[in-house]
Amino acid sequence: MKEPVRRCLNTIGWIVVLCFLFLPSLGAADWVGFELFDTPDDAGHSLTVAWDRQSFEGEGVSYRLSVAPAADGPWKTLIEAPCDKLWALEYPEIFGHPEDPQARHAFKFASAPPPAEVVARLREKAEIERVAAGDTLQAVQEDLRAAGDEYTAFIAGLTPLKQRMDAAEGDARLRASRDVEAYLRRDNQLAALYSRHENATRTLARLENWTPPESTRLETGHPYHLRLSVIGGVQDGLQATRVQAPVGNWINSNKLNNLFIALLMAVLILFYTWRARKNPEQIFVRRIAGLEAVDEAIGRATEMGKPIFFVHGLATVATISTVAAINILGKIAEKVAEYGTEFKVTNRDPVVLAVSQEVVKEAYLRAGRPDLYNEDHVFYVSQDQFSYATGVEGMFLRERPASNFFFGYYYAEALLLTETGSHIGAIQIAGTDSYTQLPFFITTCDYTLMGEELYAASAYLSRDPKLLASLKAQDLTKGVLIAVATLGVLLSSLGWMWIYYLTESF
Amino acid sequence: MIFLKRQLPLMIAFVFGMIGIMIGYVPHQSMEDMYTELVGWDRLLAAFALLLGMYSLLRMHFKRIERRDSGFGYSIVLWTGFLITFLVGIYNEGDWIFAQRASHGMLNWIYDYIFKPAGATMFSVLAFFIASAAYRTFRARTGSAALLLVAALVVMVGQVPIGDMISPKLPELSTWLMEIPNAAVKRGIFLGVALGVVATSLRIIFGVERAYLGGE
Repeated sequence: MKEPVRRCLNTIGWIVVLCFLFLPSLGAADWVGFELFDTPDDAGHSLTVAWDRQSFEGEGVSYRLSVAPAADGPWKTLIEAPCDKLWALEYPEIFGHPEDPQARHAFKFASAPPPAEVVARLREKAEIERVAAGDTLQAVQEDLRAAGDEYTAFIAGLTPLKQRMDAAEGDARLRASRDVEAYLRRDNQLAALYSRHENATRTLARLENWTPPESTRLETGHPYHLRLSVIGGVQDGLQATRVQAPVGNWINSNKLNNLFIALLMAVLILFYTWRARKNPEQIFVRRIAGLEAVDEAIGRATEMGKPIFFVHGLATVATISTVAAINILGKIAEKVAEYGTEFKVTNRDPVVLAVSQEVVKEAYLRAGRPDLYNEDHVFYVSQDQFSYATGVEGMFLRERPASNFFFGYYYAEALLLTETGSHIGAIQIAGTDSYTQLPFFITTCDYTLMGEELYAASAYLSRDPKLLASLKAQDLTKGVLIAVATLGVLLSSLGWMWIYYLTESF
Repeated sequence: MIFLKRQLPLMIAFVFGMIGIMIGYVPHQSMEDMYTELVGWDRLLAAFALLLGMYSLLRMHFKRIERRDSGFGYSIVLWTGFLITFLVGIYNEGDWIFAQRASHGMLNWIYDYIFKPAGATMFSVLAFFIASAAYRTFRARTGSAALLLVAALVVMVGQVPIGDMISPKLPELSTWLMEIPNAAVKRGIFLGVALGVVATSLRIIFGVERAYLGGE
C-alpha cells in the first residue's frame, strides 16, 4: 500500500476511534453520582434523590424533579429549581456536613401520585361513603317532606339573607353572617333540618364527583420512578430516571447519641440502686429549702387548725412532672396523716384524681390513720383551665388554708392560684418544671422547687437509699453532659466541629 | 392480692415503658401503628375517668348541701348549673341524644354567653395579679432585687417603640439580655429538667420508684 493512502486510512481510523470515545459524552452525557435511595432513619414514607454538581451547570440552568408510581406515569413535578439550589447540606441528618457545601445536590420527598392499588382502595372507601351519604340524604328528604310548607317558608326567609352574605365582603359580610346566624337561631328544629340537608347534599356531590387525589403519602414497599431533567443551558432536555421503593427502618441512627446517654443513665441508675440495696449507706443530698419547709408548713396548719391544700397542675398523668407531683403527694399525705390535719387535694384531670385518691388512701394507711382518710377531700374541680383556677381560688378564700402545695405543670393559672394563696397569708411551697411560670411562683410562694428539684423531691422526702442512689446516677450523667458541652464550646471555638456534630439532634 | 396491687402494675409499667422507648427510637410502620393504638387506649381510659371525676365532684357537693356546710349555697349553684347544662344537652333542641349535637340552641348559648365570658374574665384578672406580684418583686430592697428591677425595666422598655426613641442601644440591650443571660439560665433549667424526666421515667420503668402506686 502506498504511504499517502496508508496515512490517510490511519487518520480516518483515529477519527473513528475518537468519535466512539467522545461523541457519547457530547451528545448524551450521563449524570454524575445520580442516585435515588430510601431515606434512612424514617418509617418508610420518604425517598431521597442526590446527584453531584454537574460540569454543565451555570447561568440559566435549572433542574426539574418529577415522580410517578409507575414507568408509564402519571408524572408529577416535585420541584423545579435553579442549579445553585437544592444542596445536600440542607439534609445534615442524611448527608452529614460535607466539606464542600456545593459538591452534591439533594432533595427529600414524601408524597407522589398514588399507585393503582391505593387509588382502588380510596375509590372503594369513597363508594362506601357515597352510599351512606345517599341514605342520609334520603332520610333528610323524608323529614323535609314531613316539615312541608313550614320548611319552605323558613327557606324563603333564609335565602335573601344568605344571598346578601355571599355578595358582601369584609365587615359587611361579617354582619350579614350574624344576621344569618340570628335567623337560624329562631327555629332550631328547622335550622337543624336545613343544616343536615346542606351537609348531606354537599357530601354526596363531593363523593359523586370523586377523583383520585393528585398525590398521597409514599406507600412503603412500592417502587417509585423519579426523573431528573435539565432545563436550559447546553444540556437542555437531558434527563435520567431511577426507581426505588421506600422501606421502614428498625433503628433511627440519628438518635444513637441520645440513646447512648439514656442507656448510660439507665446503667448508672441500675448500678447505684443495686449498690444501695447491698449497702444502704446514706447518700449526701444537698439541702433543698423548699422540702425542708414541708414539715414546718404542715406543723403550722396543725397549730392553726386550718386545712392544707395540695393543688395539682394542669398536665395529665402522661406528663412526668405530674407523676413526680403524685410521688410527692404520697409523702406529704403521710406526714399530714401523722399530724391529723385536714388535707385537701384538688385535681384537674380525672385520671390524676383516681391515682391521687389511691395514693392518699395508702399514705393514711401507712401512717396508721386510715380513719382520717376522706375520699371527698381528694376531688375533681374542672377540666377547664380558668374554671379550675376559679374553683380553687374560691376554696382558698372560703376555707383560708394555712399551707398550700403546688406541684406539677402549670400555665397562666399559676399566678391566679398562688397570688390568692399569698393574699390569705398561707405558707406556700411550689415545684414546677414549667419555666415560664417559675418567676410567678418565686414571687408569690415562700419556697419554690425549680426544674430538676421537683424530680428529686420524692427521693429527698423518702430518704430511701435506692431513690437517692438514682439521684447520684442523674448527677453523674449531668456531669458527663456538662463536660461534653464545655469541651464542645472549646473545640468549636477552635474550629473543630466534630464534637458538635456528634451531639447534634434531629 | 399483692400480685394485683404491686407486681402486675410494675410489670405493666415496665412493658409499656419499654414500648414507649422503642417507639422513640424505631422508625418503623409497626411502631407507628402501635403508637396510634396506644393513643386510642389513652382516649378510652380518659373518657371513663371523666365519669369518675364527675361523680367525685357531684358527690362532694351533694354531701355539702346535705350537711349544710358553710358556703353550701355555692354547691347548690354547681348542682343547678350541672343539671341545667346536662338536661339541655340531653334535650339537644328536641333531637335528643341519638342525633348529632345541635349547632344552635341553649347549649351553645350557655357556652357562648356564660362559660366563655366567665373564662375570659378570669384571664383578664390576671393582669391585675401580675401588677401586684410585680410590685412586690420589684421593690428594690436587696441588691439582687434591684438588679432584677433594672433588667426588667430594660427588657420592657426595649420591647416598645419608646425604648428606641430614648436610645437605640436599649432594644439591643434588651435583646442581648433575652438571648444571652436569659437563654443560658433557661438552658440550664432545661438540662436539669430533661435529666430529671429521663431519670424519673427510668426509675418508674425499672420499678425503683413506686410512690405512684401508693406504695413505699
